[in-house]
Amino acid sequence: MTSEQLEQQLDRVYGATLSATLAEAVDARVFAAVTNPLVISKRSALGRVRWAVLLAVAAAMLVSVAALGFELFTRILFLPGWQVAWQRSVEIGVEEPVDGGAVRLERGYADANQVVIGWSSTLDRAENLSGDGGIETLTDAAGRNYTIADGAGDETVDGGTINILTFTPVDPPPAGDTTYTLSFPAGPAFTFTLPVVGGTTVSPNLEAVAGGFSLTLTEFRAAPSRVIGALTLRTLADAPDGESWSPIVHLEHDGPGGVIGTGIRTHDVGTIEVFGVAGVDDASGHWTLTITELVGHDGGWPDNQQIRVDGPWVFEFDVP
Amino acid sequence: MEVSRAVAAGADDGTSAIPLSEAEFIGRYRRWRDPVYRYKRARCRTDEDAADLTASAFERAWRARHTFRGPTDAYPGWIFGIARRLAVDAARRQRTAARTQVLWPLAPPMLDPADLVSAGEDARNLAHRLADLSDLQREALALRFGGRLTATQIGAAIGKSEAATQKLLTRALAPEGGVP
Repeated sequence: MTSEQLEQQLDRVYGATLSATLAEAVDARVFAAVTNPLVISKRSALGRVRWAVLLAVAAAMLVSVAALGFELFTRILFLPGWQVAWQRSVEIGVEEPVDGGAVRLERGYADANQVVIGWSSTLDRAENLSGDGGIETLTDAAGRNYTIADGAGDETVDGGTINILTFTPVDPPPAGDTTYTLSFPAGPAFTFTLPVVGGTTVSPNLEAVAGGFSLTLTEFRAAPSRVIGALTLRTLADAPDGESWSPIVHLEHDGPGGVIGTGIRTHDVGTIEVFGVAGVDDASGHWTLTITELVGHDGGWPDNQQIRVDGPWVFEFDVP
Repeated sequence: MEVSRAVAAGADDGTSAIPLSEAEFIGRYRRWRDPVYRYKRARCRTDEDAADLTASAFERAWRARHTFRGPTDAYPGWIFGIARRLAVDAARRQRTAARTQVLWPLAPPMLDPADLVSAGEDARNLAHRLADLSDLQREALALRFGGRLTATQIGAAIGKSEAATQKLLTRALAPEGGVP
């Protein structure tokens, strides 16, 4: 193999592309860190939870699955909204045996925009409870399925795991005490009740046009752990060719000081969900949602070219 | 706290030597996210692990931003230095060989069976070549081809001079049994 051939191969081998889904997840974490200095990452949290870890080890020597320390989970609460949810969560404390160990639902939180569940297990990470590619499901007492939104996990020093799962409520979200069932594809199902904290929903129905695209903010829902904006995207005649358009979003509440870090999630073609990685207790006031750019790609393969379209698309509205 | 998500104008023009503001940090994040991911991907078994370590590197960089004082062209060495330490930490934590590098399947379509055979042989040859290199040589190649860094930038990340790094790369890329 010549040097040139070797370099060509190395170029290909090291030419991995970050998928749009993973890029969103990375962006959300980094923007959350930048917009909220209180975000605790895995590594920095280790020192702070050292005592909690030691206590967890001691407890694990006594029982199969001990109730893990409240603080232990802080190392995986990557988003500010998750931290709020965890601080306001209620203890569930239900445990089920599984092959080779046990699974325990530790705590839960629910508001109009997400359900956050913390669970732990004595199983090694490799012995997952997802079966053959399955995902956890959450339903409420009415049998409505919630969409899994996000999650994080880490190993504990005793070889088990701690995990956070988040779900997006169905529309309209339930209110008051609500009974949920969380099912693991290759594990147990848990039924438990959580109080649902309400939220504020408005329907701005505002349209903004720029760069060959029409964007309409159809609904905006604010809750303590996150805010969500629903947008529809329409391609106009003068739009550039491209696909999989994603927005770069800036969100302010009552002026520049109230910036909320953001992320996006695209459900269907033409439907975009914009979410704040933090929420608000009081949604009243003036909101400005600005989409500064739309980012898509030309669909080419393997040399997929990114296309960026400048906005801005600006939506300003008041919540009473 | 106001945070601009726009790329800071002139952020990478190599002319300023200032602590990183939030807007500048985001600008550099946008510029270097994918190269850091490619570098991480060379050290992880899954895309998800590489993305996780990429986010962790920038989170750590944000917390340590006061330690970066430029000039701006020193940024790649700084961020990859952080990424490199994280990768070693993660490998150690996962009880895997601390500097194991992973080759994943190559993607380009090759319809000619002869090409498929050739690709398999090439991949095996490449794996053998990399296995024969030192840890530091493999690290330098990952930074060069994954991070797309120059010899100067690689040197900053691994704590070597530009000349020493260039020598390291030259030897790593030399054809078997000779000089390129």
